[in-house]
Amino acid sequence: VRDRSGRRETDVPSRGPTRTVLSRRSFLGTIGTGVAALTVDTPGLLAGTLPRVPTRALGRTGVQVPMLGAGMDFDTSYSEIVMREALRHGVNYWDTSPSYVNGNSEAGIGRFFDLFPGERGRVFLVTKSDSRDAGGLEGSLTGSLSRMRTSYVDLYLLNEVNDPSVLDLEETRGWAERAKASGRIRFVGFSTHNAEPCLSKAAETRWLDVAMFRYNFRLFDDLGLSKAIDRCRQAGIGLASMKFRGLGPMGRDTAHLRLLQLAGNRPDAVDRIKLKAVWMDERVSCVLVKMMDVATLRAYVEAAASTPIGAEEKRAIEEYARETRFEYCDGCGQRCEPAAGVPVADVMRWLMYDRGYGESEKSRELFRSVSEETRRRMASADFSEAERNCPRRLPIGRLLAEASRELV
Amino acid sequence: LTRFEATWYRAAVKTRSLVVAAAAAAAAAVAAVAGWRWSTERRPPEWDPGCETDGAQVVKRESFGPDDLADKINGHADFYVSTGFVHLDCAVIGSGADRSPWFEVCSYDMGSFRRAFSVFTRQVRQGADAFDDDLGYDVPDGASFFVDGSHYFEVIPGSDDHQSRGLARSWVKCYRREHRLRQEEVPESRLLPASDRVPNSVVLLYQAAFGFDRLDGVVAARYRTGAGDATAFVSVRGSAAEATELADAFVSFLVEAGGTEDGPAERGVRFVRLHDMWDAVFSRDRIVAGVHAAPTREAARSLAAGIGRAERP
Repeated sequence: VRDRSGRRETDVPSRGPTRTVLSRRSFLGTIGTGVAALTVDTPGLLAGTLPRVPTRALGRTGVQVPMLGAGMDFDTSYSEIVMREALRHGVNYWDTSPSYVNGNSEAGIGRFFDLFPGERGRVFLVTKSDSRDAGGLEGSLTGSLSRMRTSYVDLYLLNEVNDPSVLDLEETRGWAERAKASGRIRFVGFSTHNAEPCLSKAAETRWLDVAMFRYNFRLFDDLGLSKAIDRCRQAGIGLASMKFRGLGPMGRDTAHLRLLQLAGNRPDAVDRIKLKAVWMDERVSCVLVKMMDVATLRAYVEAAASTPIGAEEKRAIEEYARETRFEYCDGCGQRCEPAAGVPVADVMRWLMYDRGYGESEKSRELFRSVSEETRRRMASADFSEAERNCPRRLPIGRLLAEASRELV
Repeated sequence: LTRFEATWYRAAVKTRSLVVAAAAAAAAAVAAVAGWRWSTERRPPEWDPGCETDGAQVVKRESFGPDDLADKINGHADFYVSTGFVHLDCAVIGSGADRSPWFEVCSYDMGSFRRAFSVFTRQVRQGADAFDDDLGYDVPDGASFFVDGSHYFEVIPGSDDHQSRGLARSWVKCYRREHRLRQEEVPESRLLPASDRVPNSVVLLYQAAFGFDRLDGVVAARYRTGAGDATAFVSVRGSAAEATELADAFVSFLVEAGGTEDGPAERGVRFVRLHDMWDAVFSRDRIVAGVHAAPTREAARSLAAGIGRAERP
């Protein structure tokens, strides 16, 4: 089958190995039971060949896309080695936007296609528009095609759709259908941070091919979201996800320690466990990850191409999600700071830098910007009222006291 | 969690949220009436961008930190956060009865001049009109971008009309007149050759230059060579030994990516052919330098020879 631009659909590689993955229902069903007999395959790694990322079908588009996608929200102008390496491993789902780095992400992709014109057909190219009206969408697409030096994009997303009614706009739909008919876009979709209502609405429409939404291990018990995902799945809408880390934990809690131990005390390995947790949900075809350097890319490729999440890792991350449910700072300082009298949200974030990212110098530098008087108050004042106001019931007093000891 | 537990939990959270929101609103009202402020250096809640000329006034203000920057700029937030982003203040400034025309000015506090310079240089658009020793530039659609000390500014017209563009430009001119843009030296840039350099092409690659995770703090620029463009780069390290080791590691990285060393080193400069392009890599004292993705070996050699001929940092 050839599309309007003359390419065969099979130009998008689908050679990656496939494997059996636990269904969502099975995944939830095993929580707490410790039972997880997962299939294991190690394509490439043990055989000494190049690891390739497994692929999954992207809804009714019929296109096989890699489970690991490259979120190109950085200047790609100097990253052609990373981009070449990504293609070698089958990471050919490239997600960008005209707004990323003032257009220099798209311009860098254009430079890449200039250097390697034969590679365009191997890439499943995704970009976005903030516009909703036909004129704005047309201008946005024209600019993207020009910067990326291509005649078409594979998937065009309405960026940041948080109001479900946008998906009913006739003008938007009409423009998308004309753009598809002209061959300048192959598929159309949207991205959202308000997933449940937008996914539910998308499932009712018949013109959207793909949805990209925030999804991570902290959301696995959101039954409303799970139902919305099911509706999309049944409607044939392909699903891509972002924000897999679910960042925010601040304490060196037991669950986090277990995760770290399982990951060889490497925070980057914890990320790979979190990534594998999302891959457990076979309804999601592709998880978008930013990979600015080759070392990070290879680490994630190996995670995708090797053993799925192990039973012990899975138990640990589920336990972690449960135990840290109330240790996740939403950053809503307006709720606790009037009672606390100190910049709670900032200090919580600095603790996250220190404990979550291992950026101790940076967190100490930031903490030193607070006056001595405020630091003294953190160490000794009563923060019980602020804790009562915290929707996550964070132990604010304990954490502030720890910060005043550890971040000096 | 069982389905029942999950349903109960969500209902409880919603109820608590309402109570907490009401309590927070009451506390905020009390604090406002009492004129109470906490005694920290926390940024004032209402940032004043100044320069409200031609009857224009601030009609909306917003502030963001690393945790919620994505609420303002979506997926682009990672770019700033990974470069050390501290805080963002934005203001919409409008004139006229209905506050139209209007524009938005956003000030990114990056914590240091080098970080602000890095995010600025990585976003320079080709064909822009530079000003103030390349610390800022205007683009034809009316937007302006510039660095002032540790802050990176974006000034974007609210619409494509002449009035909004004019208002935005007026604000930038006023700001530059009232605040001489604070600049710190980026000494590495003096090592890069001046001739054949593509205008506005100097960039500070804060991390993972050319896809190599260990190569950070790199200053680079694009050059026209007879056969096509190439990039020259320099990075100052902590010691000569570190520079030597990093240069060797970068060559190994290029080879691992599929490159091959092309002939013997010439006066300490090693050449790698990768994807039909040439890299040249060397170290001198504390400096790692070279040429990336040159169209020919000769272009790489010639451009590398020009690095460091000027003053050393």
